[in-house]
Amino acid sequence: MARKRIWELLPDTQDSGTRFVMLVVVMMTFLATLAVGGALVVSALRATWVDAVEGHITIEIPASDGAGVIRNADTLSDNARGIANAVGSLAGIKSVHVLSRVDIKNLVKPWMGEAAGTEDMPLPALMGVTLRDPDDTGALEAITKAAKALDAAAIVEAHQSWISDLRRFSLVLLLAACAMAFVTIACCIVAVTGAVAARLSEHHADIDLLHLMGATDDYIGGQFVQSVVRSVGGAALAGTVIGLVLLKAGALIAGNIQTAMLPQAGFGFADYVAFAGLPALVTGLCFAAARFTVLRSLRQMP
Amino acid sequence: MISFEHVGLRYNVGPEVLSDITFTLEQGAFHFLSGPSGAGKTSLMKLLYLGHLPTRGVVKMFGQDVVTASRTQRMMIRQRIGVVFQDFRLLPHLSAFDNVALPLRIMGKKPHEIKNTVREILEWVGLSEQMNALPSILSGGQQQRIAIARAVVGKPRLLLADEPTGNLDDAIGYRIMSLFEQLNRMGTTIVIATHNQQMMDHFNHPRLTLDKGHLAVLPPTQKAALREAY
Ligand SMILES: Nc1ncnc2c1ncn2[C@@H]1O[C@H](COP(=O)(O)OP(=O)(O)OP(=O)(O)O)[C@@H](O)[C@H]1O
Ligand SMILES: [Mg+2]
Repeated sequence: MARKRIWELLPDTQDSGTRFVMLVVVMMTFLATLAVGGALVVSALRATWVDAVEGHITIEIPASDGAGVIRNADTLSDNARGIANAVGSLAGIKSVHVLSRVDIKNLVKPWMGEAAGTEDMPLPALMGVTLRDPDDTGALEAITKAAKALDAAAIVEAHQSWISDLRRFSLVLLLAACAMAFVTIACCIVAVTGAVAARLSEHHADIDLLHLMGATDDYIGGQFVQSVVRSVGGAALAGTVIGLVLLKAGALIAGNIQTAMLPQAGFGFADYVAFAGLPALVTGLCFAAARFTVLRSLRQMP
Repeated sequence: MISFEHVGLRYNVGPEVLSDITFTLEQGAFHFLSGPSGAGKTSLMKLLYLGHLPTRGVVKMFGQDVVTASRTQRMMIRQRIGVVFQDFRLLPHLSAFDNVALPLRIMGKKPHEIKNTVREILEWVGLSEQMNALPSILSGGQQQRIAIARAVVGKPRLLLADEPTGNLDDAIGYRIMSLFEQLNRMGTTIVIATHNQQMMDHFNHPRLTLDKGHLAVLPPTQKAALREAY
């Protein structure tokens, strides 16, 4: 069944002014989509990175003593085992893992190259401790005490500064993304209200006539806003789709980078809900702003 | 139903174009409004359809003082008034059908009801063929008939027509006048501004005459009274 054309009070919206506004809305929602995508990626990264280190404590026995003398490798590994046993029996510890020489070599290989392969290379002893409760603040002190008791040179590291740096850094990125989304949406609103105001003065005589026929401000305003919402809604949707296509392409490229530092590429259901909310938000805000502008100027007419 | 008491109107700081106008219109009245060009006929019409508020005096429409009425109340008053403007004031981007349908849409009537009523009234003014035409391609007389159809389509309680037969040939002019009389018999109060002496001689209605902003109420012309007597 052919859809009947919706009756419109105002002439077709395809004038150049409206097209310009729609173009602005397409570009701005495109940018806002990228900003939202960026924000989602940053929060995913932050979660991955923080999860990886939070609740984990590293105990290191350096390979050389304070004077720079290389210590005996067997002493190091004996002490490490002793510390692991002592720490493992503390309350609130989930697991203690002593890294083998091979593990440690693999860790340093990217920095040391093949030199790490030689047997006499001095390596520190390393233990990874996982806490039952990542927020257990007393654990660090207890572990430090236990470790120092067995080897005074032991260094206990909870990565706190790394975590707080990471938090601050991702917060800055998130704020930047939010600011970008905010400004682009504000641009849409400014463009749309400007266009509506221009359209109002263009149709001043028609509006005058409608008032004389007893049309209420709500009715006339509704006619104006209705056409605005339809144009803006379409444009915002288009901008979001273009933005999503670009993000998807970016995710495909990023997916080919084999790095454990990047979270699983691709967006989940909740992310798509956020993206779908964007054109709805833009349209809703533009609707509210347009309605406000129209009603305010209509009330000033006789 | 409508009363003016010592009403005056001036545009901005200009002279008073209407002074000391006092008259009443009862429900179902039918009046001609005549007077030389520039006498203030259109201005008086403006007061009647609330296109202007009086600068002095009291105008009561349907029992309500238009100056103290709220914005919403004024809109409600206007919805009960049909106006044929001297310059038609059709919306250029709307078809004849949509122009005529406008008052019904403003009143919130249902689409099928609008369709039937508008078709009927367009047929009445002889423009069913031009239903989808834009005003710009219609002749002056056709535009005027669209304007008339739009004014009467909502069955207003008060119909104001400013020179409604000015551009029409006699046959159609008289037909439109009969339509107005028919509406009047159904209870619509009618005021028609006209220069057309023949029209006033043909239809037996009292006259409001304006001269230099002053109003006098006169009985129907003698010819019209005679016609009626036969
Ligand atoms: N908008 C306006 N602003 C200022 N003066 C106006 C305005 N409209 C009308 N006038 C003046 O008011 C006076 C009455 O004009 P009006 O249009 O009411 O006359 P009219 O009787 O309808 O004339 P006509 O028969 O030519 O239509 C004229 O002197 C005119 O110049
Ligand atoms: Mg006039």
